Amino acid sequence: MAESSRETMTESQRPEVDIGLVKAAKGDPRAFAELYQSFVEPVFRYLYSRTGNVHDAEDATAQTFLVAFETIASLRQEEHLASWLFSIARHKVMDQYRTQKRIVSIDFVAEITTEKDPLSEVIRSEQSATLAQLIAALPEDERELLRLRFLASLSFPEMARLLRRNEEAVKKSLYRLLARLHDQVEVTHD
Amino acid sequence: MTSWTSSDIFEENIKNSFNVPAIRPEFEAHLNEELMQRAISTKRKTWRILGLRPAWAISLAILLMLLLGTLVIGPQRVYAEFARMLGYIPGVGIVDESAPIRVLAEPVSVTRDGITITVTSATLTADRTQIAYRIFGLPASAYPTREDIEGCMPSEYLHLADGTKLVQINGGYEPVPAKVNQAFLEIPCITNTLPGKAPENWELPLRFVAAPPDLTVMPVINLTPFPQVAQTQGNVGGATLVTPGNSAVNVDQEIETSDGYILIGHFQPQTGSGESFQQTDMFKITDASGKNVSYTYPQDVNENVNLDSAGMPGTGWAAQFEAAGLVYPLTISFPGVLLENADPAATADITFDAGNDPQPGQTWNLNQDIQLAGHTLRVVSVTVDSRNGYSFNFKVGPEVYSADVQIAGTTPNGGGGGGGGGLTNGTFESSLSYAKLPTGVLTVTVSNLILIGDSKTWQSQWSPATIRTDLPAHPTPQAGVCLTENSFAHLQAVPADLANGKILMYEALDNNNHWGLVLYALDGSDRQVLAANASGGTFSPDGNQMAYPAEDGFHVMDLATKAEKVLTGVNGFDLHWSPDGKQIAYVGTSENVIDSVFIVNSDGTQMSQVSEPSYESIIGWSSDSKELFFVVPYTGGAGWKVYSYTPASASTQDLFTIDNGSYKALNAALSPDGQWIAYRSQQLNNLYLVHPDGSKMHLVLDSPAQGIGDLEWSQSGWLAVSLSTDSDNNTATILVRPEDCQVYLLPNLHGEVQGIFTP
Repeated sequence: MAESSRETMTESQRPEVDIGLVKAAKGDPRAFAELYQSFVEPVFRYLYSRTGNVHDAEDATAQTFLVAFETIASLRQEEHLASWLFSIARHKVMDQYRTQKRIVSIDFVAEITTEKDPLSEVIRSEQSATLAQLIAALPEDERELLRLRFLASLSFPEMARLLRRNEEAVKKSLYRLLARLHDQVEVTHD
Repeated sequence: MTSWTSSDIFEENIKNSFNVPAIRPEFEAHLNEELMQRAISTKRKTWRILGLRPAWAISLAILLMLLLGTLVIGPQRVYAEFARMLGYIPGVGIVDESAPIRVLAEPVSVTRDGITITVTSATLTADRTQIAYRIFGLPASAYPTREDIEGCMPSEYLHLADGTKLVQINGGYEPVPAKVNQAFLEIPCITNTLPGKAPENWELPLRFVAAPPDLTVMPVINLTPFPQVAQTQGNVGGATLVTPGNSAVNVDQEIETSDGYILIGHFQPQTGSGESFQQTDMFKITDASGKNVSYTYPQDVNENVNLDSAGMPGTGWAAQFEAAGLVYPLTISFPGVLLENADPAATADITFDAGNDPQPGQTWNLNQDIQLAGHTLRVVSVTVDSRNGYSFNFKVGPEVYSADVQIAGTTPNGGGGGGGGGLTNGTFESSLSYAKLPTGVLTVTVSNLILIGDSKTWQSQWSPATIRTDLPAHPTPQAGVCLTENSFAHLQAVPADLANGKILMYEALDNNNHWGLVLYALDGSDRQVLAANASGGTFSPDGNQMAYPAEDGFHVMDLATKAEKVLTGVNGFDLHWSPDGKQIAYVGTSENVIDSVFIVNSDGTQMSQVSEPSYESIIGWSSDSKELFFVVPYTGGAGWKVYSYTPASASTQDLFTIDNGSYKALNAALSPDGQWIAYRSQQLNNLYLVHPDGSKMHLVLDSPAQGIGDLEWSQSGWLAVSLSTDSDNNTATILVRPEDCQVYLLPNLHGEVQGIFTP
């Protein structure tokens, strides 16, 4: 399939799961530290997109890794570390939602001014701005696909595992969504 | 809709559009420090058992509710009261049945440019709309010819009269509102077709009606919702007390089917610190009398399998089985071994010279022994793999599972491994991949030795929520069924009067994965290797010759002298010799088609293509050699259309559709009298017969083994069937005569049957 060639291009940007390292992390904190370094940014990016503010995202990121640290010995399938980690992250978002009720949906993220945001000076492209509006209007399940793929940097098998869906179905759903967004961006700019 | 490929820039813009700030370095460093301090100052602790963690508070609350619920409404199906009303519809899956279910009023077809899309069914429930359609007549030319070119990826949707679009969700579409009974299925383009190569913008009008009263909807009983409970049970005042359990094998949902049950669960064994486990075989189900319960995997509940009860990735499992005659409780057993880290500090180094310009596929045979944590590992070879990395191949003793490798002074961007050491003939592989491949003399450090511990079987027991009174006390085979799993275990060897027949097998020639065509007598004697590295052989009608495909053309071998002649320039597979011996039908590929039916004279002359669709398979010749039967798959494998071709008139007739055959490969074969087509089922473990006009379809082999492979008829009406008997690729070969249900085991024959000749 053509998708495989496209995956090759983007897979290099995803945190690779070194199964040996995951096994080692069960007994060696230094190995866990390596895993932490690989995943802390994607986890934070994902959680920021879910919570909408740096404070909650950092809080949930910390809780995610603390739980992961405490429970990694129970991870049976080392190759599924990423989906395991993000399933913890998703639970942490839900925990925050239950306890704080102040999670900001990504619908409004474009309007948030983040005080300590070193990227706030970055000029987003016109396309990104349009995309932000289109993404804000998407149903939650479609936004989650984008978050998991582009912020969490999950591979398709990991997304499928996390979402309890067939890998091909996830691929198709995402590519359809991307095609739709692309068309909509083009229409907007025409 | 045109073909579209997402670009890196577009995907980067999507990422940017989320406007996520960079992580604060001070936060990242602080969290890292916190983790390290925890590692140093405390030993890893388990969760406090009745502590203050919210999850346990929730767990205890649910437990209390369960206990109260149990006392009020009885011990069974307690959780059903807490769950949505879930129902199971065979072929559709688990659905929300809190609203009336509707179905498609009648199938709808639209044909354009010779391509037909048919909506065959629709199921409308409160949570989704499930639509099944199939496509036929799509030419291979509509698809990209290269892997790196992507065709159209359509966004199919349902379109309501008021303009509402219902998009795809969870394997279906958004639910159709209760009062809306008409919709259009909009298919912008057919998946993966090239622009302009197939009609686009399909619109199929659908009409929905209330589901008929006899629509099968079975209740789904949730047994263990999050958090997991209901594993150990005791009695309190006559009611069942459900207590938190710690079982590795969990049954989460139970569905009562017409003849048995579907169980859905997850497997999550507890292991000690530094331990993990490796499952070593398929799980088994046995009943209380010790009988093995044969089960299949119910594909239609796939969406509901895979995560554990906490929503974490686990090893989901599901099983569907017949329940007649079973004695409860059933025991579900997962076999495996414990894996344990050897000395984490132990390392061993080797060096090898990769040179200045290592190339993919290049291999260095090191055959060097190293000592690691008191165990000997042989580094057999190092290979440059296709992922811009090095793959290290090890040979180890039965106690070693795996080890890791690192190349000194380098930072890999990924890695992996395969094999299970002592579990897989003493071999495993560990690999590293790089953005830039390291070169020169490399020092490789081998560490993190994992040892294979004790074999273990994790078990749990399950009994149905209610005792069934609608099932027979003993399994009764369906009329016409010649073999079941039970009768397979008692098969007799082929009798002497058949033993002088011969059979052609495709089988392993040695332990190094070399396969070839081998001739046997039917009693498994007289083994003769006819052609190494060859497959797809077929007997001539008189049984004196064998034809098989090779790169330079079809080879025809005289079985007595082993002399071969080559039909040069004839290339293809799935060879079928006509009963009059004059022609060979085969599946070949030309400039415009992929895998279509061709016929060639048996001397290699007058080759002709007889059909135009693609991905066809030959069923066989009629006994008078005047008709050739073949099947063509619907797009995506949703069924097979059966055709006959008459060479004299060069005409093709559309006969009927096989709906319940294997999507993967039908393996259809025509009986020598032309009366029956044998084929394997969707589940791959049943065998059906049907007349060539589509009538009298019936089951003949009812799940005798894990899978059914190739089928070959003899001239005298015996059907040879290859069976896979377990998950380790072990096989058996049987002989069936459907007209009187005689079945025999052909001893010592393992592999795939290619041809059979009986006297």
